[in-house]
This record gives sequence, C-alpha cells and structure tokens, in this order.
Amino acid sequence: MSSRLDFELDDPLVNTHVPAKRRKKVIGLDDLLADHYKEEGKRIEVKSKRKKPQNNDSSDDEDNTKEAHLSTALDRYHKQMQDMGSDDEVTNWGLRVFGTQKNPPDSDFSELRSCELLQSFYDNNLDSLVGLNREEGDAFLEGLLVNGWLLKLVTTQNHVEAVVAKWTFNLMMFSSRGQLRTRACSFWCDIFSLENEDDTSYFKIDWVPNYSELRRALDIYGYTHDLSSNSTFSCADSQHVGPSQNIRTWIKFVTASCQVRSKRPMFSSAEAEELIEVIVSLFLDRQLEGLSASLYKCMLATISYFTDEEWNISCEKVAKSIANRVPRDLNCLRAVECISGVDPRSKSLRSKVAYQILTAYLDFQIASDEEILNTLISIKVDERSCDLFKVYIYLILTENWLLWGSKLDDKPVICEMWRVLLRNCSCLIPSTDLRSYALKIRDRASYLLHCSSIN
Amino acid sequence: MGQTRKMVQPSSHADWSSGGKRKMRRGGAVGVGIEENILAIFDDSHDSQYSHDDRLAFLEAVRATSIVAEDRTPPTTKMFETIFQIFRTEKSLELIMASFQLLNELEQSFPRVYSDAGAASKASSTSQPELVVDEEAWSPFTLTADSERATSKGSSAKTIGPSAFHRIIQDLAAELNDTSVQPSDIRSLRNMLLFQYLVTVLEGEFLARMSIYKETMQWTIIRESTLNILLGSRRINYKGLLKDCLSVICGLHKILAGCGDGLKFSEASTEKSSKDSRTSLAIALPEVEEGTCTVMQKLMIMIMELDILKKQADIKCFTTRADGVRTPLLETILDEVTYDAGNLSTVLQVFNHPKWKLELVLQYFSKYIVKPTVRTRRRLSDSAEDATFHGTLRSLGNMNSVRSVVKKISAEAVQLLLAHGFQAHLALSSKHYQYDDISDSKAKDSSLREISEEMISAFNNLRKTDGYISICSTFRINIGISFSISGVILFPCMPLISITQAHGDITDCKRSTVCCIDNPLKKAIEVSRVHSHAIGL
Repeated sequence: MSSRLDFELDDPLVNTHVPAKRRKKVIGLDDLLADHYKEEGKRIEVKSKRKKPQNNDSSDDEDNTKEAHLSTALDRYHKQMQDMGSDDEVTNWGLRVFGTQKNPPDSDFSELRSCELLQSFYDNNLDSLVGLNREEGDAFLEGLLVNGWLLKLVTTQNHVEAVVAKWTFNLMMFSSRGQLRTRACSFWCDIFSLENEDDTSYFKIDWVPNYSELRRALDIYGYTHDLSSNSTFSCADSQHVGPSQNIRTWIKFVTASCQVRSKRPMFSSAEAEELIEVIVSLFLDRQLEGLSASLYKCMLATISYFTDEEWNISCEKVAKSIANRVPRDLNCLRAVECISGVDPRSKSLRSKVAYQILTAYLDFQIASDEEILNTLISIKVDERSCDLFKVYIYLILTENWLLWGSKLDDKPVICEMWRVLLRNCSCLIPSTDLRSYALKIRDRASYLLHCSSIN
Repeated sequence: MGQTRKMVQPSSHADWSSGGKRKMRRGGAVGVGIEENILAIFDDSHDSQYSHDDRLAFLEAVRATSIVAEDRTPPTTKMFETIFQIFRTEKSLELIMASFQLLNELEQSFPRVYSDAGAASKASSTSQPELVVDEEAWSPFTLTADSERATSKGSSAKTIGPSAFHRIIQDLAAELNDTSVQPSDIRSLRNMLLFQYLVTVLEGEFLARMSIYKETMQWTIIRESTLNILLGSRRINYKGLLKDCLSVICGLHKILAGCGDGLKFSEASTEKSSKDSRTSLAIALPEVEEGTCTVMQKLMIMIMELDILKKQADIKCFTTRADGVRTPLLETILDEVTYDAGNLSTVLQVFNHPKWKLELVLQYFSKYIVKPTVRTRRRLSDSAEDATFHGTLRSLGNMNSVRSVVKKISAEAVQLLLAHGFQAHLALSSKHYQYDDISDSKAKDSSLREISEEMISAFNNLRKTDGYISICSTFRINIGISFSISGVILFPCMPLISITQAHGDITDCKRSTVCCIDNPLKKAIEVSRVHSHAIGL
C-alpha cells in the first residue's frame, strides 16, 4: 500500500499541513502515513483536516493528475481514520450510577401536629396568638425550620422528638423544595457539630437515622450498586433519570454523621466500608462531577470514621471490594484517583485499591510484588500486538500502588524493577509511535522516571 | 521531539530558605528540575482530548508533589500561574473542579501570611508573635498600579487586580439579577468558583493578620493586608462594590430560597455526553451558589471587621491621610435596607452570623428610636456603640416610642427586626457560641429572662398600635413565612421564661426542662401577664 503513495511523500503541500494538526511530537508525513497503514486504533481529529486538503485542491492546479491521485488517496485515508476513530471512541471514564428515580415513600406526618413542641402551644392557648391552627401545624414547623428557630428550640431543651427527627430527615432526603432540604440538612449538621465541639452538650435524639435509611434514600434516587453491568438506562423518561438534587444533602449528611463518631457512632464498620464504596461509585458518575469537592470531604470523613484497629482490617476489605466492582477500563483509574491522599489513611487506601485492581486485572490470586512487576516488565510494548491501553492502565495502577504506599526506600529490588518498567515504557516506545496510548505511556513513564531520579 | 521536551536534566532542590526578617520561605520550593518536568506535561495545544488529559495529569502531578508528598514543597510561580490559567480558561467541568480543588488545597498548605507564634513562644514566653510574610509566594491578586494597568490592557490577565475583582462581583450581580438569563452555563459557575477562591485567599491572609493585630495592635499589619489595599484602591468604586456585594448575596438568597424542584431539562437530548454535562451543571450549580452565598457573607463580615479595626486605629491616631475614608459597610447596608424595605427581610435572613445580625438590628433601631436623653443623630455612631439589645427593648417598652417608631418604619419591619435581634441575641448568649470580642458585653448585659419579658412587652405595645393589626391580618393570609414571623417573637420566649421561672438559672435547668415544660410554662404566662398587662389570650 505504501509503495503506491511513494510519489506523494515529498509533496510539500501535505507536509506543511498535516503535522501541524498533530501534537508537535509527530515528525512528518512519511512517518505518519507509513505508521497509519501499519497500525490500528489511533484517534485523530478528522473534520478540520478534511477541509484543508480540499482547499489545496482548488487553490493550486499546477499538476492536476498528481493532485487527483493525492486527493483520492487522502479521501480514502480520512475515511479510514474516521472508521478507526469510531472504534476507539470510548476513551473516557464515566458510568451511570443512577438509573430511574423511584417515588419517595409516602410519609405521613400527621402525628407531627401532636408533637410536644406544638402541643405546648395548644395547651396554653398560645396558638391563636402566634397564628397557628391545628391543621397547619407542619406548615408552622416548616417556618420555624427555615428561619432557624427549630434548632434554637431544640437546643434549649436538648431534646429532639422522634417525630421531629423523622420529619426533618425526610425533608432532607426527599423534599423537592430546595430551601427546606438545605435547612433540614443544616439542622442535623448543626446538632452534630454542636455535639462535636462541646464536650458537655449531648442531645437526646429519640430517633437517629441508621445506615439502612441512608441506603434506602439512595435506592430511591435510582442508585445502582452494581457497577459492572452498567447498561445504559432507558432514557425514555428523562425527567426521572439521573440523581436527584437531594444527593447533595445526602452527601453532607453522611459527612456530618461520620464526624460525630466519638459521641454518636451511627454505623458499624461494615456499613462504613460500604459507604466508602458508595462514595467511590458516586465519583464515577459524570453527572456528579460538580460535587467533587463535597465528595472529597465526605470520603475523608468516612475514612476517618474508623478506629485504628478497625481501619487495619477495613482498608484491605474496602480495597478488595472496590477492585471487584469497578469495570476494567478508565473508570478504574478514576476510582483510584478520587481517593485524595491528603492523610496517611487515604494514601494507604489509594495504594491498596490500586494494588487490588492491578492484581485482579492481571488475574493473580496471590502473587509477590516481584512477580507482578516481572509480569509487567515482560510485556513487549514495542510489539504491534501489544495492547497499549492495558499497559497504560497497568502503568498508572503500578504508580499509585508503589508511590502512594509505604516508602520504597527500604525495598531496593522493587524500586529497581519499577525503574526498569519505566525505562521499558519510555525508551521502547518511539516518539513517533501512533498507536493510541503509546505517547501517553511514554510521556508518563519518562515523567515518572525523571521524578524518581531526582528523589 | 518529545524526547527533548520531556527529558530534563535532574537538578537539586533550589535553596530558598534565606531571606530578610519578613521574607521567609518555609522549606524550599519545588526544584527547577521538577518544575520543568511537571510543566512539560502541560501541553499548549488546544481543543483535543490529549490536551484535556494532559492538563488533568499536570494538576495531578502538582498535587502529588505539593500536597501528598511527605516533604511538601510549594509549586513555583510558573506552576501556580498555569493552574490558575487552567482554572480561568478551561471549559470542562472536570478541569475546573480539579483546578479549583487544587488551588484551595495549596492555599491551605502554603499560607502566604502566617503567625510565627510557635517559634516565638519557644524562644521566650513573653515575646509577641511575629508576622511572617512570604513575599515571593504567588498570589492571585496583583495590587501594584503598574501591573493593574498592564492587565487591564491585555485580556489574558494572569492575576486579578482591584478593578478585575470588582468586575467579577459585578458580573455575578448582573447574572443573578437578570432573570431572563438562565445561569446554567459553565461561565457563571466558573465565575462563582473564582470568586470563592479569591475570598478564601483574602480570608486566610486577613485572619492571620487580625490575630496578630490583636496582640500587637500595630495598624500597619492590617493596613498591608490585601483586603485593605484592595478596598482602598482608587481603581474601584468602593460604594458600588459594596452595593454589588449586597445585590449578589440577596440575589443568591432569593434563588436558593425558591430553587430546585428536581432537575429540569430544557430539551430532551439523545446525545449522552451533552445530557450528562447538563445534568452535572444542574446539580453543581445550587451547590456552588450556596458556597458563593456563604463566601460572600464571609467577605462582608471581613469588611465589617476591617471597618471596626480601622475605626479603632483612627481613634488611636494610627491612621494617616493615606488610609483614606471609607463608609463602613454596615452603614451602606442600612441605607440600602432603608430605601428598599423588601430587602430588609432578605438581608436579615441571609446574615446568619449572630454578632453582625444583632449589630445590624441595633443600628437600625438606633436610627429611629428617639432617646429621651441628649443623644441626637449627630452622635449616632457613638450611641450605636453602646446600644444593646436590652436597651433597645427597654425603649420599645415605652408606648410613645413604639408609636413613633411604627410611624417611621412599619410594624412589620419592627417585628422582623425584633425577631431577628432576639434570635441573634439568643445565639450570642448561648454557651455554644464562642464569642470573643466587643459584642459579648452586649449579649451578656442582661439575663434572658429580662429580655424575654421585655420582648413580650414590646410585642404587646406593637399590638396596641393600629398599624400592627392591619398588617398582621394581611401577612397571616399571604406571606409564606407569616407563621414564623409572629411565632418567632413570642413562642421562644415561653419555654425560656418557663425555664427561668421554674429554676432561676437557665444553665442549670436545661436538662430537666423536657419533663417539666408544661407546668412552668403556665406559670410563665402568668408571670408575663402580670408583667405586661395581659397578653390578650
């Protein structure tokens, strides 16, 4: 194939345009064409490209026959590229974690009208004075909640009645009115933070939501825990697909309730483990991208919920379970990278998750670190048949596993093997390699190699 | 080609640790080698998935060296600039959120200004903490006149000057108050995040300086704060800035109060990616709006604190003519609220910081309550200084002054002010609230019981005026918060009085209140009946 195009290779017209499109690393048209016909699975911007050669056709008519050849060849070339581009389209992370929303539970808060808070009004005939009638008791309480009075009243009494607790929790999780759910959420968060700040304050809360309540709320938002079978949900009813706005208050409530562990342990460690997994999967949904800051906070709070002893066991368990659940594509990298690593715990979790995904990927049941690295080193990245996408994922996972875990200083063998791996990836792949992920691997490896030589 | 770009000769860490008294760098900045290596990840090419990924990788790399690594090193100026540029120019939500997060984390890890209290206390217990200013550190603000001129010309400003800061707030105000524009595009989201970040930077510095000022009482420490320089800049219209702030916070509050009946999609789109991004924007926007509202309140509180510090310095003659004269923010707010009564309720609701809410209420009342003493409006600010909620209530116990106040401002406004004042007072006097300065005396000057009783008597006086009754009947019918407005005044007094009546001391009896609320409550009403000439039950 390439021999047919020999006469075009020196054409200055093409030479000037095509390389400029590509990132500057590409040397020239000769490499480009040669590699293009040899390799598969490369992505490229097509649209703008197609226009330019056509413009060239019209502007320059010195050598018509040559150009006719050129344009047909280029057309074919673009067509093929387009085909390949579509093969390769799924290159980004993102899962649909939320399916169709269910209807919120029918909650009847008629007993709210007879709660102690309101009852004291009726008992003393104050209701007419404050404009309260028996049918509108909950509307009156809503007013108190929105204006911040409910918290004041509750703090005077240090007591939250069960019905008030249930009612505010329900508003927070299922209310469609933004102000009500925000206020209900800050009502709970304020109570928790008062308890947290002050050793002497403790609220008698007759009903505290437990983990299953939180899970139930998630289910109603359409949350699906099973990430592997991520079939696209039917988009027929677009009004109810995707997470509910209440997910924001859900995240905040979880954050706050994890922070009061010392006063009010609300979850078992197994439940907290599951919470971490839930948060990781929330990170995987692109629709929640804008909430990443609160998700980070929530993750840190959940991680610090454990006691030290619990954490030693739970960290491993969480890592394994995440590794089993995330799909084997770019999503698994996102799952690793969403663990912030600002504190030692999240750092070690990140390393462990990366390790678990890596071993699951390589299908090792039990393997020593050296064996894993040996397998990785033995991958021939310069061979055409090599699946570079996998190599890329391996590389990033290994990086996270080794560099975020315990210090490498006392493991010289591992350290040396890591460098060999990096050298393989950076030196065996030429800068002109057009396979997808080739340059990503190369750049990443040379960056890491450079960093490791400095430190 | 790529080879030469990526392969940078390793070099040792640059040594920055030297410096003058007030120019110090903790630790070293990232070595030159690392800087080039990290920056090499960042590719200047545009509009491709590659560059998007490169940018993410760049942010992640900075994060790894400056936040996560055990020997954290601050990024170099160039790296900071690059992050900031990504933050301000990118259109992808993922990149904006990542760079915003990183900038905030860096701000926390490497404060530009901090107190050297730890070292000072080790050396000698008596020495005062010293202010350490890292002059070399990158800041998103440029405050010198030259650079401001330069940035106003070029559109690609690397940092924010005073006028650019004002412009950001103006843009926010315009977007929020223009209801025809659906503020769902990524630009307005980024604008709000940018504002949040800038205020975080201002706050970090200002709080550090204020804590040292409290020990040393050196006005220069405050004078040199970015906030003060920014507000004092001649390039902004100070009063306009304050008004814009107020309009932003009110606009946000209105949106948040009425927002959110689930997600709304303007049109059904079959394209997955665009629908995803619209959903993510729809979910992110209220979150960002909430954050902006909080942050705007922080900014306004800082400005009010600054006003007070400046006044103190004025009194002590530390200020010079160069410091200029600025109208205190609180007065600006009062003016705005006076001319637009509809705003009063919003402003009172939005300011949930009890100290400043109480201050606002007291100053508002002090404008309208005619004191029997010789105080006149000329000495308004002085009388506001020593006004207390207790004092205000006492004057409202006087039927004549209530009548004259209601004539000037509506009974509804008086109710609103009293309700919020009472709420703020309660918050300040509760043991949970850590108050540390001027206004604690205002809150503590009288017992809650007295306050509650005076509330009732003021309330009764209000009822006796004609205006009250008519307004009351209307707002019972239509205003959404009517229940709480009237409920707010009386209802909380009841348990409080009951507590105080039954046990004398509020702190002792909190625990037992629950069980004995009914009986003492009745007692309390009797007490209040006696005190306030029959409530009219």
